[in-house]
Amino acid sequence: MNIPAVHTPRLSLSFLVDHFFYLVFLLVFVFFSLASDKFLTVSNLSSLLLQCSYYGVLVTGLSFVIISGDFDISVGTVAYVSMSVGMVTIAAGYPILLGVALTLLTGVAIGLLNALIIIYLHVPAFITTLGVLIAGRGVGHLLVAEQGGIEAPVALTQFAQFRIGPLYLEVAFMLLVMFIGQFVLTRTAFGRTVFAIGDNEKSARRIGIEINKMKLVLFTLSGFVASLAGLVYVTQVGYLHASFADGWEFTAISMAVIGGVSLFGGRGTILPGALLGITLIVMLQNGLTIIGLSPYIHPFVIGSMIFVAILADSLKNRRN
Amino acid sequence: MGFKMKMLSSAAILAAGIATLPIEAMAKDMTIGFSSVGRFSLAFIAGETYLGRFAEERGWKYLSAIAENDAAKQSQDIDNLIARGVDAVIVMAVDSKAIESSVRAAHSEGIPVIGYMRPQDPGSTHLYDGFAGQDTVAQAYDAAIEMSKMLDEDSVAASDVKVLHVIGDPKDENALKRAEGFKKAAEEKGWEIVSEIICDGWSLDMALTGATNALESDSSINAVLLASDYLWPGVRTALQNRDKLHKRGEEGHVYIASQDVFPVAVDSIKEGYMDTSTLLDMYGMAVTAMDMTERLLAGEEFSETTTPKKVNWMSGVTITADNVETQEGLWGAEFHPDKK
Repeated sequence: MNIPAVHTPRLSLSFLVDHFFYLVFLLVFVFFSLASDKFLTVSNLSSLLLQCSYYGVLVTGLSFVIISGDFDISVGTVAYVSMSVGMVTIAAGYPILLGVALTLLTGVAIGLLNALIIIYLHVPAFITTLGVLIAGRGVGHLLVAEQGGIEAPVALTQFAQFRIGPLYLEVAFMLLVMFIGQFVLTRTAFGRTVFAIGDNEKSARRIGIEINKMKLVLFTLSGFVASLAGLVYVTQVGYLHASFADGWEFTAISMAVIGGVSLFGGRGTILPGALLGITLIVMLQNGLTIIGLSPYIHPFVIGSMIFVAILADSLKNRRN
Repeated sequence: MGFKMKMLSSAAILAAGIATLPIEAMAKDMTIGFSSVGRFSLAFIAGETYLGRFAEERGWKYLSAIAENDAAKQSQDIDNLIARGVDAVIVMAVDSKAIESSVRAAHSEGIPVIGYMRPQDPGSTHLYDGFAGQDTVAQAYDAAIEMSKMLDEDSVAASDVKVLHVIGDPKDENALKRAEGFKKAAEEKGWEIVSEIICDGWSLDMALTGATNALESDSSINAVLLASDYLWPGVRTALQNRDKLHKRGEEGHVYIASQDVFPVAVDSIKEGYMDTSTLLDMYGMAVTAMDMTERLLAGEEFSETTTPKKVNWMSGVTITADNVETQEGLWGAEFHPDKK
């Protein structure tokens, strides 16, 4: 007699590790929704997404680099220096469009500089971008800090006031950038090459992928996108100052990793992964303030979350 | 005036001249070294400029070294200033404990060390010869009290005041002292602090997101106690996004008490969006520090009974729409980008 096999659902460790993030996201969302009637409102969710917008843009470029198995920890500084160049230009009376163009060009130039140092001087990406992070801050201070900060022109800050229903224009822009990023990553040969390099650089080289050319494009892209994120942020805050984008790099890397972009390369998505990672961190900051928890506890909660995410990523990587 | 009086007057002038002669004589050859925490804040740049200006007025040579917020570098900077032969060192410390060996080295060479703006750790073994700083508890308290006068004028009952308290960087002792001053005033006046946010590293991002979240959590917030108007652009944007940025006298105005009077605060006070800010007296502290330096070089010593004292805590003036155009020593106006 054949006895039919009984399939009982099992909560295995690998299942938990794979879906841990989604579970946590859901739990946090439900918790804050129940804890305060101020959380689940159109106004709050709209402002929560607005807070995600510049990080969304920043993480898109950074995710490409991380998935390829590298690091770019200069993105905050790139945003600062490129915005400094742009804002000084505008403050000197030149057209806003010229300032915006110079901002983006500076981002591209610094990204390219990163790439050239990594490729031709064989300096590891981490060290190269760390150097640029430190040196670039000095350049930014030289341009901006000695003036005590620069007010953004009204034409730029007005951009932040446009809404499509409850959705701010910056949020729509972020979603567009992330959608393009995800499309390029998963539906193009370029994207597949990024995954291949991140998975195993030596093998990728063996099958004829031009690693240096890819690094050149990836770091330049990261610089360009960082300057774009700086622009999105300036439209919101309306002011360029000495601590502009300070620490963005580590927050952005954490957000990407929480969203499933592997620190070890070769894995990750921009949509929905990175977007949910960003939203989780911003939601925690938002929700903890709304429920009135002491601000001194916030870093502990968020730091613990980052630690657990990195642990989960490490476990996944070991298993794979 | 009789002959005797003339003689007496002449003798007095001569005596005074002789008494000041050593200072005048030595003045031209003096070199003063200033070790700054950094140039990342316009307030620090203003302080550095004032000290340089006052040294120049005395005919002294002025050398400055910038630590870029690095305590170890600052220690090296001071050692280098000593090696370059300075006669006195004025220091705005990154971390006073970390530069103790340099203070000791200066003293062993007979070089006086004067603290500027940032106080010395109470546990320090080699003390500054003089110090000019600002009482930051009083600074915050004064701003809040000034705001309370405006609330009274506008007939806003204390029980209706709902405060957002922006603490600033919790690693910075000044931020914590300012928080203490604000809380003291809020308690005295019976205001309710409905939300508190911190801004690590004086991050404007955190001011923006924190204030946005706080305003979402409690739309009744009608006053902000701000640790420094360096953070004002972030808070201002959060208020604007919630349609809460209105001038005083307009409906829905949120009262703002801040500190430091950066250029952005000068503008906002003039426009009526910010109500008051207590001056971080970079000018007054520089006057006192340089005066003490001059006297130390002339051989004077300071204690708690001398004038000035060895440790001098200054109180800043509260700036409002009434005095923002006229107040002297307003570095935020003098160093305003529009003036460049």
